[in-house]
Amino acid sequence: MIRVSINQISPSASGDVPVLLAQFSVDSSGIHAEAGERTDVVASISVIDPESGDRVLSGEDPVRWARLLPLALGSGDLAVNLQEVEAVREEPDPVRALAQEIGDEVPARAEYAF
Amino acid sequence: MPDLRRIGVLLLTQATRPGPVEDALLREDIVGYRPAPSTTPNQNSTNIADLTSDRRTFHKPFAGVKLDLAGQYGHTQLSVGLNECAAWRLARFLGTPYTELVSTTVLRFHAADVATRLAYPRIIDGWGSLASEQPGVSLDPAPLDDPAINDPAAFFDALIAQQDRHMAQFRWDAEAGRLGLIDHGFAFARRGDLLNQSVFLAQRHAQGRGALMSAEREALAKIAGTSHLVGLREILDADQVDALAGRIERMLASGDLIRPGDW
Repeated sequence: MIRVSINQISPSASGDVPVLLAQFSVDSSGIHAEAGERTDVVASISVIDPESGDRVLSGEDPVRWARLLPLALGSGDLAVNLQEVEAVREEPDPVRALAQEIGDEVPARAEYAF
Repeated sequence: MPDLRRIGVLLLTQATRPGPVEDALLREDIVGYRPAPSTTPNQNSTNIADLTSDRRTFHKPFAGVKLDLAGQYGHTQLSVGLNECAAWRLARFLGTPYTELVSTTVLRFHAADVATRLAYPRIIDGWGSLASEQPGVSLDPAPLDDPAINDPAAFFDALIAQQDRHMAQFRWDAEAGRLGLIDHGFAFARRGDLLNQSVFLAQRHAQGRGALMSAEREALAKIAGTSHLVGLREILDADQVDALAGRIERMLASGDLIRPGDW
C-alpha cells in the first residue's frame, strides 16, 4: 500500500508553510481518502508514463497511477510525498472468535466475563 | 545553429519594450535560488528564484527537463522552455484577460552560487524559463464552474494546443476571483501529438459553449494577420507554427473551438 500526501508550500516571513491538500492511501482496490479536501480532485488527474507513453488513470491502475503522480504535479509549489506502508492487518477479536465458535449461547456482553 | 537562432530571436524579442513584470524578471538580481518543493531526482527540475523586489519566480532550466516525458509529448529540453516563453508572448500580444491568466515568462540564464551548490549539491541551473508565481491554491475545481473564468482559459488552451492542463496546472485565488494558468512546456502540439488532459476546454465543450465568441474570433484574426504569427515562427519549430496556423484557420472557418487533442 502507498500513502500519498500532497502539500502546497507557501512562503511566509517565518519560512515555508505547508498546507495539506490531500492525503490518501492507495492499493490495488483503489484510493482511500484520509485527510485534506482534495483527494477526489487529485484522483481525476491522469498521468503519462514517461517510458511507455501510456495515459494512466487512477480508476484503472491505482498503484501505478500513484507511483507516477509526482511526475504530474511538478509545478513548483506542490510537494508530493509517497510512502510505502504495510496494510494494516485486522487482528482477530478473541471474544468474537469464541462467540462464533460456541454459537448463540454467548450472552450479549460476554466480554465482561473475561 | 537553428536552435541558437531561435534562442537569439527570443532574447531580442523579450528585451524589446518589456513590461514592468518582464523587466523585473529580466533584470533584477536573483537573491535566493533553491529547488522547488516539487523537485525530486526523477522529474522535471524547477527552482524557486527570489528576486530583489521579493517577487517569487520559478526557474525551469533546460537541463532539468525530463527527456523521456518530454519526448512522449513530442518535445525536447529546448522546446519545453521555448513553449513556456511562447505562451506568454502570445498572451502578451492578446492582452487582457490573457495577460492576467498566464504567468509572465522570459528566458533567462542563472547559475547557482557556491553557497547554493553546497546546500543543494544536485541542483540544476543554467538557461531556462523564468515565470512569475501565480497566487492562489491548487486543486480547487471552483473556476470550472464559472463560465466567465473557465471559458477564456479554454480559448487560450485551444489556441496554444495545451497538452497537459489538469487540475494541478492552475492556481485559483478565490478572494480576488483570479485564475492563473501555469506550466506551458507541453503545448504548441502538432497534429497527432499526445494529449493528457485539457480540463477547461473539455468543460466548455461539455457545457455547450464551444462556439467562438466575437472577441475570440477577432483575437484569432488578429494573430493570423501578423507577420510570422506574433513572431512565433522565429521561436518555435516550423511544424509547431504550421499547426498553430492550421488551428486558427480551422477555428475561424468552423466558428468553434477545437476539441481537446484535435491539434
